[in-house]
Amino acid sequence: MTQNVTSPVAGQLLTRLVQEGDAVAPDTEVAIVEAMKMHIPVVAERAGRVALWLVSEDSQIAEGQALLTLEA
Amino acid sequence: MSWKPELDDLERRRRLALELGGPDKVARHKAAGKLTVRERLAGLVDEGSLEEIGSVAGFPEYDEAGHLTGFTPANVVCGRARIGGRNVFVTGDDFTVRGGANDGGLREKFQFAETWARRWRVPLVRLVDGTGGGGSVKHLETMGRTYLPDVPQFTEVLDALSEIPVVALGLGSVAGMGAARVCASHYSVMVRGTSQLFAAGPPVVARTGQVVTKEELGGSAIHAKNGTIDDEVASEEEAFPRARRFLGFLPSSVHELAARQPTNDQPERTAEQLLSAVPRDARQVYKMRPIVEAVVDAGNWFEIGKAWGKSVITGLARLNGWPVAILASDPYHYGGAWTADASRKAIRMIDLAQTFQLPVVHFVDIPGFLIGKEAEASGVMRFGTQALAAVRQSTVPWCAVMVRKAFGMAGLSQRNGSPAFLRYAWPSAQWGSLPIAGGVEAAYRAVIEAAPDPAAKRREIEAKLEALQSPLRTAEAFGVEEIIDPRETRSYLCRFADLAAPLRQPGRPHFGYRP
Repeated sequence: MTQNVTSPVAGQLLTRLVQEGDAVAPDTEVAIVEAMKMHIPVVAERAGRVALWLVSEDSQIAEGQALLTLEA
Repeated sequence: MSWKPELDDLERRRRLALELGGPDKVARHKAAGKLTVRERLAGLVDEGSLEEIGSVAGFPEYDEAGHLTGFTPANVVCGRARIGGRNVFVTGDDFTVRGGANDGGLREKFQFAETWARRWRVPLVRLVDGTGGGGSVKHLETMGRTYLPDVPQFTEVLDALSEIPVVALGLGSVAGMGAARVCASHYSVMVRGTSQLFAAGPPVVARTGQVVTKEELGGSAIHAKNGTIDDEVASEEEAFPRARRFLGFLPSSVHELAARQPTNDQPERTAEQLLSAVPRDARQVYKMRPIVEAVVDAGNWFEIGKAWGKSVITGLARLNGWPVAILASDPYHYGGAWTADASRKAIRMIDLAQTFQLPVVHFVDIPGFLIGKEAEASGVMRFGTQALAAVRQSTVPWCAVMVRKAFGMAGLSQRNGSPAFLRYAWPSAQWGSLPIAGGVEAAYRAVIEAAPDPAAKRREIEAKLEALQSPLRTAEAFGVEEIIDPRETRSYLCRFADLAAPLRQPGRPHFGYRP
């Protein structure tokens, strides 16, 4: 089963904090998005393995946009 | 001769009423994962406190000799009861009789149930599990005519919101008037998976070409995120304590004041972690909820609306035993910038506080209204200006803790229109009409462009201005009431709550409450 991790805010993807293949625990910060001049962490709510990054660093993202796919 | 036979007759009807819509309907209802209206009432109120009103109202069947042969109760069960030892009025729809629709009820009983609480100045709790008010179009044939839509008691239903606390739990698929009865409240909750809410359900929507399930159309996750309801919970059993807790912070009506509750939490208690709660790096976020929890009376933080308008956290709490309303920025969501939704959510909390005279504490970290295309498309300035109006029109005592930023028009929300407002700034606070970074470009463009090294010139100007941005400079000019040690925030706020308590004024609010 796969699940997307989405950005809670619109902004610019500054940093990917995990790589494809990494295992993440619930509440792991997986990315930093810049919005309103702040560095806002994006958190994986559930555990899983990072299957695929869907966006590259520096790209503009919309609120609720999927950033990466997690495999359970 | 005593009146025992008549009492036996009464008792028999009461027993029949307990069977609700009959064993088959009850079994089907429970198989859907829902509690019966009587189980719900029992779960909600203090044990044994329900005094039913209209217990034998319903639809009897008599034989030719006038003997009772059957009985279906009206599908509203209501009465007075106690929650936390205080009087309330509760009314619950019985889905097992005609799906809770109004043609399975008695108009007189329904109207009574919706209006009793305001007349007796006690809180109202609705357990909504019914469809619309119109019943069925089959009605047309019976009546031989149609009618202009009206709910005669609707004026009174809305008026109640300006006088008594109203809580609504959406506990099934509610449409039309059922949906409006959930929304026409100060606090509303839906249950994940078993409750849905819509203007009209899937069969009607299908006629427009949209084929959707109940859950896709109006599940609790949808409405907890758009602010149609305040909170969603995982089970009906979790909804009842939320209703009880909410009411615990409020007076029984606007004609009284919220009571102080004894607390073991010392008002002078300090919280060491607050000294470093805000990162020195201005771009780094921090968690606001633990700050709020560290400051208010232990175990007395009740967050409302967690799933929507996320850049502002709203809820109820106690300080030295006094109930207060809380607004707090969440930097994790747009750095705390007020969005259209956050503005709507703030309005809802401020109006609740004003109606029931709860002093407000605002933990401020607001870089401004949200900027950008999406923000403009969402109408942020309209709703934002409404929120600023709600803040300024409120007259309850107000205290701001300036945690970090307060910029632009949204930064005005740090104080309300009460003459009794106070602002305590943490050393991490910074404020202004414009944030320096963006403002420098605009104000010093000519100077920067003329410099041999424009970037260096810009940095030089920024550094100069940043040095002026310390809250100490503002305090020296008495532009803020006080700068405090964050660790001592609780004692300041408890003294604020003590000072504020006698300023609260019971009575109807100047404006009618709009749900």
